[in-house]
Amino acid sequence: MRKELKILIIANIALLFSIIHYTFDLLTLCIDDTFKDALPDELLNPVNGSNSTSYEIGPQLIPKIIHQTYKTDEIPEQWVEGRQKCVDLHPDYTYILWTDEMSDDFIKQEYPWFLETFRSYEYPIERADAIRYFILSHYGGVYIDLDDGCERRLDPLLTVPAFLRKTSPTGVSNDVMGSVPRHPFFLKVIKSLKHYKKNWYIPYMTIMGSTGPLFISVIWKQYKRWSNMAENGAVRILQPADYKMHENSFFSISKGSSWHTGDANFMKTLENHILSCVVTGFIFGFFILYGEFTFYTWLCSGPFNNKRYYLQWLSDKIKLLKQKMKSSSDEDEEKIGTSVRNEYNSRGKRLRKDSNIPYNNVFIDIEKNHDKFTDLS
Amino acid sequence: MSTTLLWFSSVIGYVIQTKCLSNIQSRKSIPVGANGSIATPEANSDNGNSSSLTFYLTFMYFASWLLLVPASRLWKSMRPMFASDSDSNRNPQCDGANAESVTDEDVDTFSHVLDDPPRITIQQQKQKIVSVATFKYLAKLTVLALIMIIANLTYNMALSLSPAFDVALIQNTAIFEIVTLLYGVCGISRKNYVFRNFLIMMNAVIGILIISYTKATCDMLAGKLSVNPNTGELSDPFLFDRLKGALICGLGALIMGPFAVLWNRWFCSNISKNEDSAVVLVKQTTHLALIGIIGMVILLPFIPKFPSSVSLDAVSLLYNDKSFWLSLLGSIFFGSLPNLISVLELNRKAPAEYLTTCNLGAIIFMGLAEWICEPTQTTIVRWEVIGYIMLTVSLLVLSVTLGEGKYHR
Repeated sequence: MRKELKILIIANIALLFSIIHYTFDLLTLCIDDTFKDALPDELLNPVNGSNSTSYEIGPQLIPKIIHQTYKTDEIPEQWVEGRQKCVDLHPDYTYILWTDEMSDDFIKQEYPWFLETFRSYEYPIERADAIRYFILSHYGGVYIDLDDGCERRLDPLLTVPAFLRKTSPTGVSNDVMGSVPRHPFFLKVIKSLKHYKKNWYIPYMTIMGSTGPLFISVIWKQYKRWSNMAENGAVRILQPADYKMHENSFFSISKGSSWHTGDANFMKTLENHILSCVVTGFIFGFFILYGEFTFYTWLCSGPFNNKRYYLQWLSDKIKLLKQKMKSSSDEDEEKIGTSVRNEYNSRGKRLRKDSNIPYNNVFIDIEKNHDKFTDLS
Repeated sequence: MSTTLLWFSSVIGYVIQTKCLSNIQSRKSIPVGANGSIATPEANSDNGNSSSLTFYLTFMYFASWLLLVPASRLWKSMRPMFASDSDSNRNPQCDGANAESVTDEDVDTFSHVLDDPPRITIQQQKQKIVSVATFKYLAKLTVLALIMIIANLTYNMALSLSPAFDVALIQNTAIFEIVTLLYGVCGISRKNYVFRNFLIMMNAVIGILIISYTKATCDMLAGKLSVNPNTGELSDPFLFDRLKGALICGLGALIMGPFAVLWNRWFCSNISKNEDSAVVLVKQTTHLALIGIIGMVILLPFIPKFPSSVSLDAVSLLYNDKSFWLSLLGSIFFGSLPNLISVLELNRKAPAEYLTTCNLGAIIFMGLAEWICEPTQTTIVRWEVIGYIMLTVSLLVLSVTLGEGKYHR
């Protein structure tokens, strides 16, 4: 195997490993293991029934606080009903609606080290995402997106130290979360926010990756891998059937998403063409790798397979070009060609096996009685 | 038999095999007589049965390889009926001599491996069988068997998750790409017109991309998929399964690249030009049969684990299901066997890289099969036709380019 090919293969393997290294958390998301951390049915639906207000449930860990966020305190009409349901179902809970101004003040006062990052987020939804992690970590309680309306009391969810909800197709989402104050998972989340603040040039990807569901899923995977998940450190997962659209679900969804723009809709259309997405990945890989191979074959097949010859060839071409620019007559061009060939000849060796330069050179010079050769006449 | 016929036999064999296996995997249940039914993938929420059936089908696939030796002997005896130009191009003296002398000794695998001298005693032969060369040979077969297990398990697993066309498309795309690439890198394919071929291949894969993109549109138009008007999201509860199926099948198929390279290096490079084609075929099918045995041995611990209460009855009743067997035997006799024998013959008659065109052909013929089998549920859009045309043109050009000199190998 040629040395260049070995280098090519090693470089590609190195590239592959680095890609795996940097996307490891994303890759692990493909293995969907939320089920073993799921909130069990006996915990969520105890004997007295889901619609009863008197539950026989375990001790409450998460404080009875409901947090919601919006830019101002004037909530759009489509979300008023859902929000009111949450308030009405939980008269004994403290309800806080966090406006942009309140959020900024809170970060300024409690987490000044994050203020610069917080203010520098390009999209307002990133700030809305970030603030929910801080308030849960600071005060504890349950965070609910404004487009999520409550369908039943949240008491069973308060019996675990922290919970997230499973999202489709994989990972967890940040639209409904709960935690005790200073839960290690949320401490890790707020510490990681700065590191993950990156611009991916596509708004949807930037938001998802820096503060959104993708970010929290990745941190959740890391937390599960490295942290002690026992007892107080545990993060339990609310399964889709318990989240919405089922008999005993806790929430219902109101129409209208607050931040999805054109690129988000494009991402959704990709779901419809999931096979072509996978095919695109394979084609891209093939294009890169076979393109490299084609380039390598071209290098091997052309005059470039000999580095010395390549350099000589390049310098000669430059010389020819320079001299061509100086002289214009045919005679001069012939002289130039001859002088270059003489240089090859003077080295006394052939640079390529199949080179026929010397023969041509000798005959020309003899015919013209060159100084270096004997005059046969 | 001409390479064109072999090509069609290989492609159609693959299509039949995939459609039959998909039919088995997509059935809701396997009827077991009067008492009820045995749950298969969809009928039971536990994935255990799905994987059991996958292992079972993979096991049966390897078992079918044992039929390759008698099939190749049958092929050998039928060969005069299909005598082709390629055979007539060969040296008649060599062929005549070889054809007459094809005996069981010629096709004995171990004699081929061990390079036996013509006459050795039984004692010497026994000693020879337990030699380094035999272990090397077995190691080679085991490596190839492991590779085939992975490739087949992922293929069958994908068939249990995704429609047959999706599986065929992603699997053949992946095999086409990896085999083309590895043949080039490992110096098995010729390095003629690499850049031109690269452009043609890119044209082919872009055609495949267009087909895969428009397939979803066609499915929506045909009512197989729908979009939720309230959320704008796809109403497909099996979306993640489809993604998983495509990824598993595509990535699993990549291992066929090393298989193709190793097979060519180990079992094709030492074939003499004067060796009779029938002998070569029987030798190669013997290798495959041994790989099949090793594969079955490795898979043995994994074959069906049906619910313990009915396990024995369930397994025996599985054999009573006629439609299950009909599909399975159909996939073996009209799918796997013709496909494998054609592939072996093509690999011998044509340049190694010519085989990759079968993968492109399989995608086209799979599309045709969908259209033929489900005429009422198939909607065709303009861009899909354009995709197929791009793929077909690229396939024809590649067949001519890669198949150059195929009769003189």
